[in-house]
Amino acid sequence: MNQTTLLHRIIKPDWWIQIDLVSSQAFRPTPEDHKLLSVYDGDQIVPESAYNHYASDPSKPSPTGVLSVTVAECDSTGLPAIPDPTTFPEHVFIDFREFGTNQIKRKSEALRDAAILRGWLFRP
Amino acid sequence: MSSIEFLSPRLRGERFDDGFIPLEFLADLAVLQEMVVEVARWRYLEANPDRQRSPRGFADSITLKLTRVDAGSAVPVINLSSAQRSLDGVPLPYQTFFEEAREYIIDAIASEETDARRSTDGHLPARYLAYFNRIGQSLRNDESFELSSPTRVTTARLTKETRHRLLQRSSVATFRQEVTLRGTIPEADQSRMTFELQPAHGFKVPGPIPDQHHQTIIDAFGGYRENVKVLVQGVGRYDRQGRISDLESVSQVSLLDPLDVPARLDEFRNMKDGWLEGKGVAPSYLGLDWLSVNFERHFPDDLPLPYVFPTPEGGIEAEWRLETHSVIFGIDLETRRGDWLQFDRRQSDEEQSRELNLNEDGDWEWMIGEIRRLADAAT
Repeated sequence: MNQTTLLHRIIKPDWWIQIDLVSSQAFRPTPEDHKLLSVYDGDQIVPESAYNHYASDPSKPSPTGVLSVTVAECDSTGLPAIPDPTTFPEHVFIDFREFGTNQIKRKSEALRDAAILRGWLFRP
Repeated sequence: MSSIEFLSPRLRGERFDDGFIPLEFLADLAVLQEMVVEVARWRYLEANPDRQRSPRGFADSITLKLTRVDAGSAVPVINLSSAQRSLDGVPLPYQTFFEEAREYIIDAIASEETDARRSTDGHLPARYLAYFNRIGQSLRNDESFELSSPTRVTTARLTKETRHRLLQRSSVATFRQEVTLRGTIPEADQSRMTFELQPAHGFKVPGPIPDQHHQTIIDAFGGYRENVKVLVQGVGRYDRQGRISDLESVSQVSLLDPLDVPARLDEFRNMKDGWLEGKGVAPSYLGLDWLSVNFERHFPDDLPLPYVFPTPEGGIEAEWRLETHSVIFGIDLETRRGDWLQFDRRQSDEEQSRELNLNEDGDWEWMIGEIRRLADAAT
């Protein structure tokens, strides 16, 4: 993983998409995530495969698609990207643990903006 | 010409607070005259069982006239008038029956209001309740039409709810109610001049295409695939279960901004609990109704609209994307409080956060002031 590595985020419910915008909540860890946002290491897996990996769990509803940010974009917002191969080999955390609620909202928006600028990397 | 004061209904609600009566409400008052005449005719025949019909000129002898509107909440003063000149103290023709009719009508409303119906004897027959299909059809949620008379201590209040109950008891199969709907137009038939509106939630609602709104409806129909939405106002026909079956008439049609907030909130009525990976609470209908009404009431048309998303906790998050600033506003639909966060995307240290109580007009004003300031700063 280096600065140009893409980190693929699975965008889950359609409810978080309105016209041309995705909710910044899609890049914000929920309380159950303990401030660690799950993404896929783009050096190890392409967006379509990341989507299929997530969608293969029948207990989860079909996600909407894949948006991605780079490690450099995470770094510039003060968010470390930490590989977590113990969950599964391509798993990476974007670490928000250092920040409070308002900062997390701001940083999730910055990641969302960078990802939207890049455009959808996979939509079924 | 002789005349006596007959009825002074009080109109309560935001529309009437200035002491004036919207013209659209005059139609309701006109129907009230029809009802009074017919009920008076019934009273006459009850009092004169040997007669097959009321005397010639019974209805023509008397007219209800709006003589003035008293101040306060609007109070139209309606007189019972006769073209015949009467001496002082001498009743107008058939005056007793018209006054009885007034009492029966007020009683009918009062008994529905308190849900303490009298026995069928001494009560207004159900066939006359059908007049309420046209009286009060424009009443909104916060409005009432209050009736009293010199012989009564209490006031009877006709509201949307009491009107609905009266119609449930009447012989009508469908009832009318003014309605505002938002949705797309998937079908329009220009030969029959009809269209179908698909609300974000619920079944399609057919209606007529009025000439003056033909182009707007066709434009929305053409934009159906792009999710172009319209606001339609008119009179809806409802079945006895309260479900809208069609639009009897259409008075207004306008294209909606793609970010129209009430239309977006309507979409969330289709959400189910578990919408976010098996978790995620669906926003409550009550909460969506409240936010929709209040956003419409408070938020000015000239300001940029937010993108609106549900939150996992069953709330709403609004995001404004302004030129240099962003606002993320989380709203709890149960407590009606919101967490406001605004920041300059170019500077990491400039931000403002505040908890807002959306039950308070002052907090709405503060919020609108901030959006206006940030939007103006960008131009």
